[in-house]
Formats: sequence, C-alpha cells, structure tokens
Amino acid sequence: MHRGCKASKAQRKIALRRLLDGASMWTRHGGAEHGVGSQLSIVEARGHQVLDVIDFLETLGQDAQLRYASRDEVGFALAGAEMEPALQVAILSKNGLELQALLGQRPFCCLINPAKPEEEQEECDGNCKEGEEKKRDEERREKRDGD
Amino acid sequence: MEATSAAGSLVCVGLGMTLGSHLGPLARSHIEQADVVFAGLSDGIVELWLQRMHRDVRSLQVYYHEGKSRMQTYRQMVEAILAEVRAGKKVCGVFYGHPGVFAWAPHKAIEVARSEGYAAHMEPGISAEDCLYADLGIDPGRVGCQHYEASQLLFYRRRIDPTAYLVLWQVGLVGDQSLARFSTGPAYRQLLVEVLSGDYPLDHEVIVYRAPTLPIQSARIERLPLGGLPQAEVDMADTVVVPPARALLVDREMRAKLDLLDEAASRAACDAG
Repeated sequence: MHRGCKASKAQRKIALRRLLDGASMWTRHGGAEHGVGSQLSIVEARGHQVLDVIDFLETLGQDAQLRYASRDEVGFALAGAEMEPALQVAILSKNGLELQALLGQRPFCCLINPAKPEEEQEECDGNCKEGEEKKRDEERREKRDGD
Repeated sequence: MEATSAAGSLVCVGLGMTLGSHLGPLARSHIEQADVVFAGLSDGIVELWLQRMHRDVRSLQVYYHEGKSRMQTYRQMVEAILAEVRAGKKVCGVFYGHPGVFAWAPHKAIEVARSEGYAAHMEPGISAEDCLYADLGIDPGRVGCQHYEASQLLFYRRRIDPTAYLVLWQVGLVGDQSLARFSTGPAYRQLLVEVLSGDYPLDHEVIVYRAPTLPIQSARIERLPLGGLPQAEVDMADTVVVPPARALLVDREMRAKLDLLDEAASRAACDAG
C-alpha cells in the first residue's frame, strides 16, 4: 500500500494555505502589510518546480475564494511561491498549453469511447476499412444471389 | 453474480474534470490504497497531480497513436489493467470525468475482471456532462436532454426530438469510420449539419462547450448558428449543445385519458369516504 510523503505534503499544504490566506487578507485590506513571502517554504530539492506548481494548482482548484479569484489575487499568491517566472506568466495568462509545455507535457488524447456499439465495432477492429469492404462485398454477394 | 474469490481486485474511479476541484474523498482513498494505479486522463498536468497521490501511476496515454485503431488502444488498456489484477494486485483505474460515461475501457475492464472471478466495481465522478449543466444553466429535467456520440447520427438513422436539448459528443472527429484519427474536418461536420438540418433551421443557435481541466482555465462557451458549425474550431474535447427548437407538444388524447382516471379515482375516494 502506498503511504506517500504525507508529512512533507501536509507541511507544503499548510505553507501554501498560509500564503493564500495572506493573499486574500491582503486584497481584503487593500495593502501589503500582510506580506507573506517568507511564509512559503514548499520547494523541495527533488523535482521542486513540479511540486511547487502542482500544489499551487491543487489549492487553486480546491479553494472557493481562489478558484475564481481575480488576476491580481492570483498574482499576489504567486509572488511568494518561488515559482519560475515563465510558469507564473503561464498561470496568470491562463495558458494551459504553455504550462503543459513548461512542465514537459504534451497534449493528451482524451478519447475513450468508440462511435459504434461494440458488436459492430468488432468487425472493424484493427483494420476498419477492410472490415467495411468485406461487409460491402457480402452485401453485393447477397444481392447477386437474390436476383 | 460472479464469485469473487481471487486475490486481485479492480476499482475504476473518476478524477472529475478540473484539477483539484472535483475529486471525491472515496475516489482519493481508492487511489491512495491501491497497489497500482492506471491513468486515463485528459491532461498531462492532471497526471502529474495524480502522481502526487501514488508512487506507481502508469499512464494509458502510451497506447494512443494517430493512425492506429483506437479500439485496439482500448483493448490494450483493458489488458494492461487486467494483467495486474490477475497478478493479485489491488488495482485502481483512474479516468478523467466519470469513469463510466463515454468510456469503453473502464466498463470492459470491470466486466472482464468480474467474469474471471475478481472483485471489480466503479465509483462515479464529475463528468463533462455535469459541468455542462452547471456552466450553461441547463436542467435536463425541464424538457429532457438527449446525448449522442456525434458519429452515430451519421452512421445510423437516429430519431432526434427537437423539443428537448441535444448534446453531441466527440464532434471534432465526427464521421471517422477508421477510429484511427484524432480529428476529421469541416466536410465531415457539414454532413452532421445536413442531418441536423432535418430538425433544426440553419440559423438555430448551438453552443460549443469544453469543461476546464486546469483551475486557471474557464469553460469554453461559444455560441454560433448551426450552419456555422463546419467552419468552427472544434476539437476532440469539445461538445456541441443544441437547445430545443420547438415547444413541447401537448398530447390532448393522453390528457383526456388521464382526466378519466383522475375522475374515477376521485369517485372511488368519495364512495369509500
């Protein structure tokens, strides 16, 4: 069973939560008196950039206030996140493709459903054209036999 | 019901559509407690997120190749999953959205696992359909809602009810008979419009919709006339929603029959009282 790095993950999350709380307090009070740059220490030696940006996205996705936060609010949270400037720019510009590229990801294929019901799809498996041609030949033969 | 005495097991769970927003506690627990996790996701960044939850996440993306039959891809996915179940592992298949909505491989993997005597089941997730209802303000209970894989409208003769919503999936590759392409094109969508024009005027407004996969994104909601669909940019992740074109038609004959039943019921109630 997988146990993961629960302690370090929890610590990262608390740090990020503090940071984001700071961001919302900052926007509520309209000033920078609750600066939070030093509160964040979520960067780890192993794969640190990925850990950082994924935690940030997870928190963004889970937080009722941040999910639809303004660009300024997200920008403030990012300011203390020790994230590569290019990643920050991609996040702020909501550029998913750029973010994928920066994290070494290619666009995924998201198709997991065939168009035809299984019974008919079986005939086309692996070589649909051949299957369709066979079917047409059979139909032609049947027609000929019927005439 | 099949006997479930073998050691391996399979659960297919949904990760939802948006990173961080939709994953339920039970699905997360299945992921964390599995021996092996297989990932059929829609975004590489979401897969990185899943890798945080488990050390052994195996991507199913490796089976896709343009030009290769996706049916073969789907079977390979099922085989990869089943090989670990047969090896006695506790396997979790993680799919984007809902693992059982427009998703052949999870259903098949569960069916095969059960037929071989393994415990196997599915946990629901938040699908693109669910997001669509929220983002577009559609209640499928109001006038009804039909869902079709778009190509089925070209391959088969289907009856569309234009008094209900119509939701078309995989429009970006409509008409692909080979199952080997990731997109078709305007000429194929023109054929789809030809079919739909039997029930809807060409100036009828349709909506191209895409749920966000990352929390930095917004849903794509693009309104255009039906006749403009061939020229629109539509890819494999987009869904087309066709709102009703006509009002519900009153069935006077059936209502009269219902009135008679109501009267009889009320007379019986009076007599009993």
